[in-house]
Amino acid sequence: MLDPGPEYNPSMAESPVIVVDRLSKVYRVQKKEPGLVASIRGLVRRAYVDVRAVDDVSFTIERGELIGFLGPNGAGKTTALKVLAGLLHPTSGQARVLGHEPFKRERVFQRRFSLVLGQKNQLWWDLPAIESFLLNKEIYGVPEREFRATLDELVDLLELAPLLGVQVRKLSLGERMKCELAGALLHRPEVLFLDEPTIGLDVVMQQKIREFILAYNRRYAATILLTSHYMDDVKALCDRVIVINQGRLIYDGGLADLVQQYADDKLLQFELERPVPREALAELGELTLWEGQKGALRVPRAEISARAARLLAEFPVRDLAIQEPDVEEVIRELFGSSEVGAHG
Amino acid sequence: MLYLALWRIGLQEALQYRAESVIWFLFDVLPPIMMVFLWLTAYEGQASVAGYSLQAMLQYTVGVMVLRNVVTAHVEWDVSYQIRQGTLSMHLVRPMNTWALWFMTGLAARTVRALMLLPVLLACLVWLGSYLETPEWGTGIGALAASLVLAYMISFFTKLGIGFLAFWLTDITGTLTLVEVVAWVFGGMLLPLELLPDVLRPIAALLPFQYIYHVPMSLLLGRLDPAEVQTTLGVQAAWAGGLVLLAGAIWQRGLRRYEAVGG
Amino acid sequence: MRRYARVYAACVRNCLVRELEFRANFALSTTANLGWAILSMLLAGMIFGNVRQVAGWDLDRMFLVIGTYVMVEHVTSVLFQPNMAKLSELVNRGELDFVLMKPISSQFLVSARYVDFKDLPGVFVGLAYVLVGVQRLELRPGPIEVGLYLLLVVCATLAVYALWFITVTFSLWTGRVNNIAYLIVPVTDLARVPTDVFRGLARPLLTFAIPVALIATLPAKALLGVLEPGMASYQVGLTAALLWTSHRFWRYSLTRYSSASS
Repeated sequence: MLDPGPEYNPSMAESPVIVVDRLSKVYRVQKKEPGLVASIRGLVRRAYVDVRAVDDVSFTIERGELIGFLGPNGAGKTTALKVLAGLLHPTSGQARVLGHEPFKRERVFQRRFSLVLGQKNQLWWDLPAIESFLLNKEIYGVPEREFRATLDELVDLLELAPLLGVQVRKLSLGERMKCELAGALLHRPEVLFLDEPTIGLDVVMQQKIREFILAYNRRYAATILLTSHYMDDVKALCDRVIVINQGRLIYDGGLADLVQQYADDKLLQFELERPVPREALAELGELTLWEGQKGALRVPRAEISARAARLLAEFPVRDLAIQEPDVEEVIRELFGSSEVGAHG
Repeated sequence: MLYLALWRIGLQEALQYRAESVIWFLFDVLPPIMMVFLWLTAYEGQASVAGYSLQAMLQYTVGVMVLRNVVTAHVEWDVSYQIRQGTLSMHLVRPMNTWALWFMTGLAARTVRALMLLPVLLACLVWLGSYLETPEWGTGIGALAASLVLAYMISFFTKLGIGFLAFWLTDITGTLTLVEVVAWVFGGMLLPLELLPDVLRPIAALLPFQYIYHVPMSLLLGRLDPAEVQTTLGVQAAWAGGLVLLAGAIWQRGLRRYEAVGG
Repeated sequence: MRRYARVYAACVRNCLVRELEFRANFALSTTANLGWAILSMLLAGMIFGNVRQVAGWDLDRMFLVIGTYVMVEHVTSVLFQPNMAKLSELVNRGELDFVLMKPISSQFLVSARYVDFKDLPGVFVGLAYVLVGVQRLELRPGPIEVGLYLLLVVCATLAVYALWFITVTFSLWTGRVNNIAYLIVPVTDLARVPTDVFRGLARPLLTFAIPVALIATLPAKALLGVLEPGMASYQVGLTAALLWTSHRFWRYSLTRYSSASS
């Protein structure tokens, strides 16, 4: 599964696949105030406020890339995705996917991509997934043989066989997500937009979905844009991340570089031969983890060697490792406040 | 093939909601049956009511029961639900005409209702047999069929437009009730419009609802002469066309608003 | 008892605030429902404008029937409509547990929690019709007639509630039926016409088993002084039986429900 499949044809590459140029999307939102008097006043007059969901964002994506959109909730990730899928009209700036203006919603364009919104179903709720698949076959005009081949592959990769005949509403969240993914890929889209695909899933299922996405990307050189606030998704799948906060693009590049660039600190992970009082260790740095004999210290980057040497000299160390800080921490620092990438 | 697939899936969906369908079915079946009882009693005192013999009145009542089940569209629920839930986005993103989805699933729902109606209709024929001799088919099956198709169009696009109000309203039931009231009074959904007070009669002509129920029924009962049939079909067609355009206009504006609030 | 009253008052206040927030819908709904109430008379008007009388009922007498129907329809709607709808929702989603844990009787809580004011104007429209009918018929109902009338109207409200509650409780057995709260409507709708109109098995069914005659025809007869002897007592008994049944059925269904879902 690591070799590109026969579908991948380098000469097909139109580079780039996605071009976003100074894209902005602004909403007018009604202001609501609590209380009975305000409610009555609201019957007569309404106040509005402008929200810049996407603010002057630019980036380019080549064929076959697997990109992660990172950012706190409400940062504008989903909005950007919706613009690229043609659901939203840019307020200003430009977006082009596979050479098309998404908002025109040309049929030709729509047959070449897929959108999976983690919280909105495409599948018919009361019917078995296979019925929705068959309908999609007609909608996308997939020839019978191709459909069967693709379906068999997807059933195999995602272990869907026992799920196909079950009503979608009776499936667990993870099973439903797998079916949604399959349904979105029956027409072999070249571009895939995934919005929070692992949300609400248990750890095992998250892993399975990630493996599948990676496999699909490798096999078909499908360009995949993934938004998530689960850092593990991004760490596992994306070499390149685009970080968006309050509508603005604040970082576009490799995940590793992100950590390097923005982390002022490094982590000193250690295990001791025998327990040691906590206060003694506190001199060396900020204790981020302490479990009797195991722990981690946060140390400024510049001093890492010195502190490591001291640790080795002054304490009975059994094991020692120098780590980059958790990406979550880096992101959190980047944004200053809100939770980002909560585990699970 | 796509249209057939949409109809098929609409059928499956409708069958999933059998119990709900039965309850809605009662709404369209119990009132006409109530009226049959009433007319049977009322005509004991007189032979004609507003120009309808007992036979004609019973034919109208049973006929309009059929129309209520088979020709009345209820697409506004799906449409408004999908708009409010945002599932509409999933439709918009696919290479499919969303109206086609609603039209075909609507037809599927009508098919199921027609099947449910069959036993009730047969029971009525047995019960009222002597009164319900085959009505004259007016100017022929062709005209009748055309009239029914146009009646469905008018119903469908009216309800579609109402469903689109969900782009603006959190809850369309208020508007829907209002439209239902008007349709009920001026459509001839239970009583022939000849019973409407003279002062209100002209209003009915200004609204599309009589062209869903009263007019096709008049055609079926042979109460229109050939010239009238022609003009009637023409007016029905005009209404259907106009409502398509109106629904289209509301759709365009609604979509703009839909994405203005984030889709 | 006072506790229930205070709880009820709090529910009423909350509902009013929430209603005002949905401004467009509030205005529309009120207009629409008022429209229905006014137009209820139109149905009778259309029929009786062309027919002199049906089974002894003429237009003037129909004011009493329609008026009472509209009153009972709207009173039950104001008091019970949102609760029945919410209850069926709770059942559909399997969320009854929190209701069962409150110290107040679950049937009361589930039946009286919400009040829907948009149907209130209709009650007065109905009352107006009844008064118009009384005036046109030059009726001078004595205290007995009025007393019986009020008694039957109260019974009608409670009986409709009981029947409504029973139909919704059914969904605890059938599984999800989204519109179960509406099953009652086409049935009570039959009360728009005098029950005397029905023939065969229909009339006894709608008079003695299903409380349709009770909703409008019987109170109207009471006001006219032509109520069959013993009928009022019977209807009181029917109402009590329905209320009792609704309660037992509810309790029974709940035990089955709570033992099934764990």
